[in-house]
Amino acid sequence: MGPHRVRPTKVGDGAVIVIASSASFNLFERPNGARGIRNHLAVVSTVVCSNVVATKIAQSLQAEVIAHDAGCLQLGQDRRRTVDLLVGIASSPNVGAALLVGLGCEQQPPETIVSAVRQKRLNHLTIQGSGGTSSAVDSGVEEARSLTASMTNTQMVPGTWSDLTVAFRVSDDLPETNSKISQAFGALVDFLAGLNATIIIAETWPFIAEPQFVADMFDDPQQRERWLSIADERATQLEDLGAAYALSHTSPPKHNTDGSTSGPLQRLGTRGLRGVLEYGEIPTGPGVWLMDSPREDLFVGAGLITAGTHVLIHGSTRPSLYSPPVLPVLKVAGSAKTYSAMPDVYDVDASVDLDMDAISQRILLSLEEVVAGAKTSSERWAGQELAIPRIGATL
Amino acid sequence: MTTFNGFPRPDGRVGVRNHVAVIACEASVNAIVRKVAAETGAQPVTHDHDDYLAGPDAELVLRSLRGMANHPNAGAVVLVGLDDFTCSGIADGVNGKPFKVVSLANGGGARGAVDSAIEAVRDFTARLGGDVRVSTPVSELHVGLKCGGSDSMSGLSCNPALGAACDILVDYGGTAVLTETSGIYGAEFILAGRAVNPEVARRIYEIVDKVERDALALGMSLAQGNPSPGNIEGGLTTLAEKSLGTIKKCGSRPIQAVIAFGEEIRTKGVVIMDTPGLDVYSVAGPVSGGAQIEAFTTGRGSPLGAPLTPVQKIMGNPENYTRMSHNMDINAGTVITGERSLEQVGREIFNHWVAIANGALTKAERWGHTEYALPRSGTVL
Repeated sequence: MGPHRVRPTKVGDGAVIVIASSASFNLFERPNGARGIRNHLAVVSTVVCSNVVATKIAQSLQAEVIAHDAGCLQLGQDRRRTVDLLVGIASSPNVGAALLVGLGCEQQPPETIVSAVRQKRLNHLTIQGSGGTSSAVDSGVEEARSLTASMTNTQMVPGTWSDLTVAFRVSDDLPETNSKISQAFGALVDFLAGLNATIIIAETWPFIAEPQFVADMFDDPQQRERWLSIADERATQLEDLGAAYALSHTSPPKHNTDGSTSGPLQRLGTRGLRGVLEYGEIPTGPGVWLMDSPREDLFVGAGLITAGTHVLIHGSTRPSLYSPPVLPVLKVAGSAKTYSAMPDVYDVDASVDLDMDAISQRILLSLEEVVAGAKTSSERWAGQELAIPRIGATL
Repeated sequence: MTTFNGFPRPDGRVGVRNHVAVIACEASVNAIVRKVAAETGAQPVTHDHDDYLAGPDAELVLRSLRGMANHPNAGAVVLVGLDDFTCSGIADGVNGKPFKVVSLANGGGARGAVDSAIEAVRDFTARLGGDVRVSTPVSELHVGLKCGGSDSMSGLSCNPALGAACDILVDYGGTAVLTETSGIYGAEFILAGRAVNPEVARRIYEIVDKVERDALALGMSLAQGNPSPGNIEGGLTTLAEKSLGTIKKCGSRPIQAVIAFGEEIRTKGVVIMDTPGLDVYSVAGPVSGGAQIEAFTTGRGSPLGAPLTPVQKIMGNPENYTRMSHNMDINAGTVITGERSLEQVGREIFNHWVAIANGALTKAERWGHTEYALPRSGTVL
C-alpha cells in the first residue's frame, strides 16, 4: 500500500475541499524508464491510404488503431506536425509495442518515422511492399502477433503519482459544468500537483477573451509572455472568422469581487501554473501546465498522447462520446440527465447531491482504479477516434 | 446508345448501387457510424468536422454531407447525431428518399444508438430488396477522375487510357469530373485553352492561384511538397511533369464548368471540381457531388475506396500490376509492354464502367475500402 495522503485544497470561493488518496498501483516499465498505465499494441497508420489495412490488423487482435486523414501532400508546419504526432503516439508510455503501416509512396513512409520513435518494440510494413490490401493485412496480423507476444513479459514496478501525467479538460461551458465540475477539477489539480504529478490542462479557448487572469498565474515571466502571445494569436484568428463566431466560442472567466474566481478559471487550481505548452509539447517536469488545444475534442487526443499523457479526466454536460485510442478517458457528467442518457459513456456523475469533498473524492477514487488498470467506460466503448489538426488548408 | 440498368431516384438521377448510407452529422458520432457499418454492411460516412455550422467550412461540410445523403447510389439514409438539431441541416436537404434520424438524445446510451441505427439499416435494406434496376442511357453516368501514387508511366499509360474512356463517355452525353487542383498546377494553361468560354478559363486560373496561395501560407511553394518521394522514386521529376500526366485523365473534349468541392454534378461533358490533391479528398469531392463511379489511376498502387461510389483501379505500371493485382481492376500496363493500344485500354475502361453500373463489384468494394474525408480551409482552431 502507498502512503495515505490527505490534502486540503482551497477553491476559488474560499472554501476548502478535503480529499485523500491511499492508492497503490503498479506501472508498466519501458526500456527508457518511462512508466505506463496500459500495455497497448498500437497499429499506427502513417497515411490516410493505409487506414483500412491498419484498422483490419488492429481489430483482429483487439489492438489500438491510430487512423487519421493526413500523411501526404503536406507542407511546412503541417508536415512536421503529422510526423511529430505519429512519432509521439507510438512513443506513448501506454504503448508497449507499435506496428507502423504505410502505403509506400507517401511523403513520410513508415521506415522514416520508425527511427524517431522512442524505446519501443517496433515493426513496420507498407501496402505496396506487401502486395496489396489482403497480403498487407495478413503479414500485419502476423507481425502484430509477434509484437504482442514480446510484450507479455513487460515488467511491472510499483509507481507513484510522480510517474504520471494527468490531463484535465472540459468540453462545454454550460452552468452545470462550470459549477461542480470546475470546482472538483481545480481541487484535483491542486491535490495531484501536490503529489508531484505532471498536470496538463488541455484548454485554451475559455481563457482567450481575458488572457490576463491566466497570465497572473505563471511564476515564470517567460512562460507568462509565451501564454500572452499564444492567446493573442488565437484571438486574432477568431477575429478573422468574424465577431459572431468569436462570441459564440469564448466564455470569459468571471472574477468575483472578493478576488476569487468562478467558472473556467477554477479548473486551473490555486497553485499557479508552471508553464504553457504548444499542442503536443512534452512538459519538462511536474507541476501544472496549460496546453494550447483545439476547441473540438476530436483533436485533443493526439496532442495529449504525444505530450506523454497517461490518462485524461474529461468533464461535460453536453453529451460527449469522445473516446481516443491509447489514452484512457475518465468521463465526468455535469448533469444527471447526461449521465443517465449515456451510462455506457460516462464514469462519474458530478451532479449528485453531495458536498464538493465527496464529489472530488469520488472522481479521485475512479482515477485511482483506472490508473491501477480498471477500464473506463470510454475504453470499453472503444471509439478509437483520432484526428490531426491542420495548420493550413488541405492541399 | 449504350445503356446500363440502374436505380432511378426521386430527384431524377440514377444510381448504380442501392446502398443504405449511415452518415455522421458531426464527427463526435463517427465511432457509432463505423460500428453500425461493420455490423450491417451499410456505407459509413465519417469526417473530422464537429460543430461546423458556425465555422468557415460550414458551407462545404453541409453541402458535402447533404450530397452523400442525396447520392444516387444510396437508396435510403440513416443520419446519426448527438441530438436531432445537429442532423436537421442535413435532414432538411434530403430529396424525397427514405431516411431516419438516430440521435443520442433518444436515450439508451451509445450502444442504444448503435442498436437503433442497425435496426433502421436492416429495415431499409429489407425495403430496398424489392427495387428493380431500370434500363438507363450511359449519358446519366457521372464519373470522377483521380490519379494517386503516380509514377513515370502514369502519364503514358493509365492516364491517357482513362482520357480515351472519358472521350467515349462524353461523346455519349455523360460527365467526367477532373479533380485535384494542386495536381493540375503547372498545366492549367492547357486546360484553360480547352475551356468552353472565357469565364470557365478564368475560373481554372483562379482555383490554381488559390491553392498556390494556400501553400505559400504554409511557407512553401506547392512544388516543394510534390512530387512525393514515391513519385520521384517512380521516375517523376517535377510537379509540372506530374501535372501534364494528370490532366490526360480527362481526355480531349471541352471543359464545360468549374465547380466547388462536393457541389452536385449537373453539367454534361468534362467538368473540373476544385478539390485538394491528397487522394482521399480528391475522391470524396466528386463522390459527394453524386458521381456514381470513380476512376482512379495509379502507377505505384493504392487500395483506396469510397463509401457509396465504386472506385475502379487502373494500374499503369505492368510490374506493379502483378504485385498489386488484388487491388487493381484494369491493367493499363499493357500499353507500356506494347500488348495493347491506348484506344483498346480506353474501351476496356469504358466497358468496365458499364459493367460496374450494372452491378459488377470493383476490387475496392470487395475489400471493404470506404475511406472518406472532408478538407479544411485553414487552421483547426
